[in-house]
This record gives sequence, structure tokens and C-alpha cells, in this order.
Amino acid sequence: MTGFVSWPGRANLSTLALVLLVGLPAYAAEDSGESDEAAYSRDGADTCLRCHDEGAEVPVTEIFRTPHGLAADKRTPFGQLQCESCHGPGGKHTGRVRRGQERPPMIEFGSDEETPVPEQNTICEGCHKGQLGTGWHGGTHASAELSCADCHSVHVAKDPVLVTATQPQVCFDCHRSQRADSLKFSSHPLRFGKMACGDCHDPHGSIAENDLRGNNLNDTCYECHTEKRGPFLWEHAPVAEDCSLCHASHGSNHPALLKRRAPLLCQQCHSQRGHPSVAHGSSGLPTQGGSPFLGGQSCANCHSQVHGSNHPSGARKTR
Amino acid sequence: MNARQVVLGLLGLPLIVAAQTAPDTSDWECGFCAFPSGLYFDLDAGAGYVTDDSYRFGDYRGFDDEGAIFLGEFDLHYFGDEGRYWKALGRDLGLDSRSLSLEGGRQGRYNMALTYEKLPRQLYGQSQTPFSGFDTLTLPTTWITGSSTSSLTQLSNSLAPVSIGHERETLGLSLALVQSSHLEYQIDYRHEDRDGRGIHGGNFLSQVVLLPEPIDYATDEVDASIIYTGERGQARLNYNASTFNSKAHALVWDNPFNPLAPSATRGRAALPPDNQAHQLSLSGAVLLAPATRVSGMLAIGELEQDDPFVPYTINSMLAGTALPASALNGKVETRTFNLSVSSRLNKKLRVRANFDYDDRDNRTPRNDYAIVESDSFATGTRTNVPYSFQRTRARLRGDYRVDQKLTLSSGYRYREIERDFQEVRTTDEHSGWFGATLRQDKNLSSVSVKFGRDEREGSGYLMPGDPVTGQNPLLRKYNMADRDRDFVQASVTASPSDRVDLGLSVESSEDDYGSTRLGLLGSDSERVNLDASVRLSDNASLALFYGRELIESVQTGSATLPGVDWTAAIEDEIDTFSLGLRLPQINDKVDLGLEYLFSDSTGRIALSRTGASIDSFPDLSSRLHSARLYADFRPNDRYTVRAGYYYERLSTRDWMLDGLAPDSLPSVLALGAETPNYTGGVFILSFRYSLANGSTSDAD
Repeated sequence: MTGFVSWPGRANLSTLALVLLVGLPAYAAEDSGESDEAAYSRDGADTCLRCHDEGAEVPVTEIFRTPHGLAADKRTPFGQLQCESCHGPGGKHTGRVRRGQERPPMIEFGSDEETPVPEQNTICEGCHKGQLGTGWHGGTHASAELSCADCHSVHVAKDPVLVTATQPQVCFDCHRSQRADSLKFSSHPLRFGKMACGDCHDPHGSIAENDLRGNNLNDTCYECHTEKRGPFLWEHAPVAEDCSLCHASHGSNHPALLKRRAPLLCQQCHSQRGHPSVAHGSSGLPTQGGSPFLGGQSCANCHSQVHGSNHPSGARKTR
Repeated sequence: MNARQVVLGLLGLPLIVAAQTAPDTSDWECGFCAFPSGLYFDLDAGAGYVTDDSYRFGDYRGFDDEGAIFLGEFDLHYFGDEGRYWKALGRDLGLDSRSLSLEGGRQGRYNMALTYEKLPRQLYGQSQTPFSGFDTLTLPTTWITGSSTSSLTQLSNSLAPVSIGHERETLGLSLALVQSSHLEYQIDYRHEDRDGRGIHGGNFLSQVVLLPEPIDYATDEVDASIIYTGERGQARLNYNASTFNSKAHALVWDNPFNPLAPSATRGRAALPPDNQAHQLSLSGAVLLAPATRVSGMLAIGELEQDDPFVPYTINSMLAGTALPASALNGKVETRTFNLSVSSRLNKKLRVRANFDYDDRDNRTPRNDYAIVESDSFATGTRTNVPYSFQRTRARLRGDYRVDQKLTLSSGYRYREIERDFQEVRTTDEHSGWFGATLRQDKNLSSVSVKFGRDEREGSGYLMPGDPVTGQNPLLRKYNMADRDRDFVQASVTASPSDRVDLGLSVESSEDDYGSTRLGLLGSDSERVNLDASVRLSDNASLALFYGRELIESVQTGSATLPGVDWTAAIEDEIDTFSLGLRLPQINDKVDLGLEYLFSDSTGRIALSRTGASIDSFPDLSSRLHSARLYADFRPNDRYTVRAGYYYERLSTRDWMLDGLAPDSLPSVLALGAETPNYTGGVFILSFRYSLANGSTSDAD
């Protein structure tokens, strides 16, 4: 079972940890001609872990159970300059300071930190270009100047945004409307931990609208709903064009994620002579006489092949 | 940031490393580094008790039957030498929503993964039908047909329960290989089975029967990529193939009514046809200048469907006409192209331009088909209409950072959709927006506003009284009708103290279909969302969320040509609330947690008709309460005892289903599917054994 609540700080343990390391980035030192002062710490991670150990306010040692903490992989921070691979030279920070004096800062991650976001992200991108794909720099999240650390937590054994059951809570911290949608009567199974936002969206950017994983919305939906892919002999034009013309993918108070209730949903486009154009009121409900246009599946009582039919006589989607 | 730093960053080395003189790390022993070695694991086993029988409570979860359940989970992680590892994960092992995964490899070299997932979709558990069979549904031999459901004398003693829902079982296999720092390969395979029953409406003219439709689908997908990462750019070559197969190709059923047409004693409908999709794509990005990147994607694909046709009808008296082809030979070619340029022109101004083209070119042959309507009578010929779409989109966005606090943004989007065989050949959409974001206190507090307007115009509506469809010439389909949309979004985040975070967002959108007289005239939506998180102490926390949404629309209809004679005003009102309270480490040994969710919706439809009265529908409603309470007792680092209770109650009112027995409607033999209403509870007691602080070793 999976919860439906975002816990404060769960997605940003790394960020909180790094609040302790407030500081200016090394590039600033270089630009100001102070690069010669940006020395590294004396003992590397051993220097850092004397303070930032398991008993620290926000522990960071779970990083050793993540890919970042593997020294045998020379591509990782601990295969290179350990903590200072990402946080920059720590010579000043770890050096002697007067009593009561704040330690000089290091590079910090998160959009609520001092280090400019583009510079933070450049550090991450230095190793993660392949995972970022080609869409990041033209994408929505990059334009909003999100820091990688706004979503990713690197100092915990399992980054919540990379786990299906916990990922939505990370996204919902900003996408509040989608949180509300996921709690509606009809929704995809996010609140049960069986689906993640990333199953449909690429947070690192894509060519499709809303950063969808497919080339367009329908291609994304067909990943799971392959039976509706067709092509059919008798297509229903709006189905082939855009699933969201009828369905609200994030959630709805109508069954099957429909935006409106049939028959009115259908009657927004169908006003043919005869029964499609007739107004149906409550006198046709099952409890009051029973119109075949309302009870059960409404229009789909007959036109059940609304997503398309491959029957030679299925032009009206009844076969 | 200068050009050197950016380029060095793209070399695959951390920026800082490159910007500084390489230090002497010979004394960096990493003696305090808790490098893991060996096996780390969490094993959970326990029992639960489901307090109620409820098919819908089992939806996505598997809690449908009252009684005891096994609770099992495991999480194993083995750390070997030189980056070798394997991981195994199991969730919900005793339930129909279980999942398993096994992954192993050597980090930085290769990895393999095997996954299994099962997911139940349970919609209506108390449905009833007199039919039996899978894809050929037959009535009992004692069945006596009638002219309406009330005259089906054998109905009540022929009904048997049937559940409407299905299960997905997915098996996945993936392999990734890192050849070098520049070249990687990935291949993923997925097989999914779906089994169950859906609802199928089968009709013989005005007589309808709702049937349990067989679902027995298999989907196979292969996705293979070659990824190149270079100094100034990257590229990915990808091939994706997906096939869909249905065991049942047609559904045949007995007519439970007295046939309205000669020999219309059985019906036959086509079920989703087997199909396949293929796509080859090449995407890439390159750094043109220190702060200018160009990326793009080119993809070609094909959808194919050649499932054999069923005959025009199963009615032996009408089956004389030959089909124009034995199968559709359906083919859709897709072409997708994207080009994106983003550039930071200076420290303050960043611009981005995108161009997208997406073409669905339906090459399916057109033929004349001699339609037999509902296996009852021939209605003449119709020619199939293979719809094609071309979507072109261009976007331009600029962000200007006025100072450290204020950023102004603006954008323009043009979108064109070309359709064939439809009422509007081309729709053009122009959209402009402006936004501002003000950040305070190192971004801990922010205010952002965005507003804009979208105008869509069609090339002309080509449906003046369609003689074939009989469509009212006044109707304008909303996806092609001229439309003006105004929207505004605002959000505020604040951290009044280091223990409290607040967030508020407001969204409003108004759609006006100004030139439409018949159809959807307008639609408005407004929503407010508020969340708060409070750190009550160093460990305890409280999270709150409230959302309110109002969706309104107005549409018109016409039963008497040519004027508009009825109107429907639709209003959906939805409130959602969630609360989470976490109280860890009470007395250092007990964690407590509570999560509560409330979702309440009301749907109102008000109808009015010119010259006659019409009663509006009763309100639609759904109300969900869901709560989870747990207590973890940790006598030491290795053992945890969890006791918990999960409760959920759903009550809905839906006039489509309320009171709908199989014979409630004279001309519709229904399934008696009930409006979902349930109360469910699960008591949980489980034990966890953890080895999370196992042997550790120093760096090599």
C-alpha cells in the first residue's frame, strides 16, 4: 500500500543537508581571480564525514548505498574527488575558523540555495548527459530553472523520484492540480503506488506537448491501451485525433476519465436527425420508465465500438 | 560561467574538477566512508484481514474478498566487488497487485533486469447475465424470447454472476551495456497479458443487450537504443516495435428478444483487431556555442492492421454480398520532426524556440462496404474514411531575469492541424502569454503569475446539412470550432518559518466558442489548491492539502431543424483534501503515522427546452474517505513490528446505473452493474527483519 501524502522534506534531504554548506560556487572564485585559494580539503571525504556523519542533523552517509557512492566506478563522485566532486573544493570550508565564525560555504544544490541553478545543473549534467536525453535544454523544467536537486535526492539509499510508488508525491509538490486530480473518483492508479507520472511524462523534456513520452498524446496512451491503436476500418475521428477530447487523463468525477457525462458528451458533436439530437431528461432514467439512451452505457448501449470498429458493417460503431 | 567551464562540463567530468588544479588525493583514504559490502535486506512477512467482501475495494489492490491475506515484501541488495551487484524487490506478494523485480550487473559496465507486475482492474462485481461462453455467448436452452425485458420469463432463473474487470500481468526484460564513456546500448522487452471481461453493448435495431465482452489480449514490445555521448553533443538511435494480439476476434451472441427482423436470432460484433506499430527515431543535441544548444528528433513509423474481416452479418438471410477485401490492409505512416534551439544570450536573457511537425498519414485503402445494420437489414453502401492529421507547431519563449528576484517571461505558440475527410480542413491557433516570477529569501518564498490568450480559427466549416449523416448544419464540433481561450494561473509559496512551508495555486480558464450556435458554447474551469507542510519537531511532520475545482459548460441541441431548442448547463464541483501526520521515534522505539484522504464531487446537469418542459437529471455524486493508520515498534535496529489499519469508504450516486436491474429498461437487457459503493477495511500485522548496517569496507 502506498500513501497519498507528500511529507515535508522527503524529496529534498540532500538539499536540506546542503543548507549546511551555504556558499559561493567555485566558478565565482575563478572569475574573480581567486582560484588559487580554492584548495581541496586535506583528507577528502574523511574530512567532510567528521562533521557530516550519521549523527548529523541530516545524514548523508546513505550515499554509499547509491551509484554515486561506488568508488570502483571511476565515473562517479567517489571514484573521483569524493564529496568535492560535486560540492567543490572544500579547503576553505574545512579549514580553521575563528570561534563563532561561519564556515565558508561550498557549492549547494536546490533552487532555494545560493548557487545559481544553471551552475548546479551543469555539474550534474557533466556526468548525466546520457540520462538527460536531448530534450532538457528546450524543455519546460529547464525553462523554469528547476535544479536537479529539486526533484532528485542523492544522499538517500532510494531517490523517491525514481521509485514508482513515491515519485508522484515529488511531482505533486509543484503540480498541485495533478495531486487533486489523482484523488478523484476516476483516476489512474497513482494513489495506489502502481503508476508514476514518469510513465507518461518525461520530466527531462520531450518533443511532445506537456513533455509526454510518446510523439503525441495518443501514442502515449497506446503504450498501455494497445487495443485502441488501430487503424480501424471505421475510425472515430476524435479518437484518432486526440484522446483528451473526451478523456481527462489526470482524473475525473465521471467514470472512465470522461470529461462529461453521456449522452451530453456525445451530443456536443452529434446532432444528427433522430435520436442523437433529442434532449433526454430524468423522465428516461431507469427508475422512471427507462430510456435506452440513458441507463447502462447510454449511447454506448448500441454504439459500443466508440474507439473504432473493424467490422464491415460497423460504420455506426454498433458492430 | 565561461565557455571553458561549459565545454569542460560536457567532457563528462565534474565542472569543479576541471576548473581546479587536480589535487593530490593519495592520502584520501575515505576511512569514514561506509562502503557497503555483501547483502543488505529488508524482509517483511505478516498477515492481514480484509473485513468486507467488495469487488471494487480490490480495484488496483486485491482486497476484494473478506478473510485473511498474506503480506509479504522483500528488498535485497547485494554489493560485490568492482561494482558488481544484484537487487531483488518484491511488493504486495500475497495480493493480486504483486510485483517482483530482479536486477544485477556491474555498475558502469552492464546490467540486466527482470520484472513482473500484476495489476487488477475491478469495476463491477455484482453484474449478472443469462449468457454463458467466452466469445460465443449463448442463452440457456430453456430461454424463451420476448418483445421486452418484462416478457423474458426465463430471465430471473437464468441469471448468473459475472465480474466486469480485468487483470494485467506484465513481464519485462532489459539489458544495458556500457561500451565506453561515449557509447551505450539498451534493449527492453515487455510482454503483457490482459484477461477479463468488459461491457459490450449489442443491439438489434432498438433492442439492446449488454454483454460480458471477452478480454484476452497480449502485447509485446521491444525497444532498442544506441546512445552516443560526445564532447559537444549526444545522439540516440532508437527502434521500437509493438504488437497487439487478441485471442477473440469477434463476439457472437444469441438474441434474447423476439427478432425484429427475419432471422436476426444472433448478433456478431468485431473485437479489437490485432495490430502492430514500428518506429525508428534519431534524436540528438549539440552545443553550438557556449550557451546555445540545438536539439532535434526525426522519426518515421508505421501502424499496421490486417486482421481478417468477419462477414457483413451473421444473419443467414442477409449474408449474400461479397466483401471488397478479406482484410483491411490498414496502414498508417507517421513522420515526426522536431527542432529546438535554446540559448542564454547573456546573463539576463534566455530564449528558446521549438518547431514540431507530427504527421499521421492514413494510407488505408478506401472501399465500399455494403452495410448490414445490426444484423437486421441492409442499409446501402458506405465508404470507409481513413482520417489523417498533420500537426505543425512553433513556439518561442523568452525569460528575462531583471534582477536576482524578478524574472519576466513571455511566449508565443502557433499550432496548425490539418485534417482530411472532416468538417474543417485546417485550424490555426495563436497563443500568447506573459508571466512573472518574484523570488524572495533565496527562493524560499515566491510569487508567480501567468496569463494569456489562445485564439483558434478554422478554414471554414464544410458541412452544410450533410445528406448522409443528417447532421444539423448549425452544429460546430468543439475540437474544430472557432474558440477563444483566456487563462490565468498564479501561485504563491512561502516559508514563514524554517518549520512551515505553504503553497497556494489558482487557475482559471474560459473557453468561448463564439461562432457556435449548436454544440458546445463555452466551458469555464476554476481551481484553487492549497498545501502546507509543517515540521512539528526534528522528526514529526504534518502535511495538508486542499483542492477545489469548478468546471462549468453550456451546450445546446436541436431536435427540430433548424433552430436550437434545448440547452444543458453542466457543472462539476470537486473538493479534495488530504492529511498526513508522521510521528516517528516516540520513545526511540515507536513510529506512528496517519494518512487521510477525502474526495467529494457533485455533478449537476440542468436542462431547459423551448416550448416544452424537461426535468433535469438528479445530481451525480461520489464521496471517498480513505485512511491509513500504522504503528511501527522497533525493539532494535533489526526488527520492526508493524500494526496497521486501512479503511476506505466510497459512496456514489449515478443515475446511469442506480436502480438498474437486468430488466429495468424495457428494451435493454442490462447487466445489473451496480453503482460502486463499498466500505472496506484491512487490519495488518507484520514483522520486518532488516540487515541495513551489514558489513562495510573501506575504500580500495
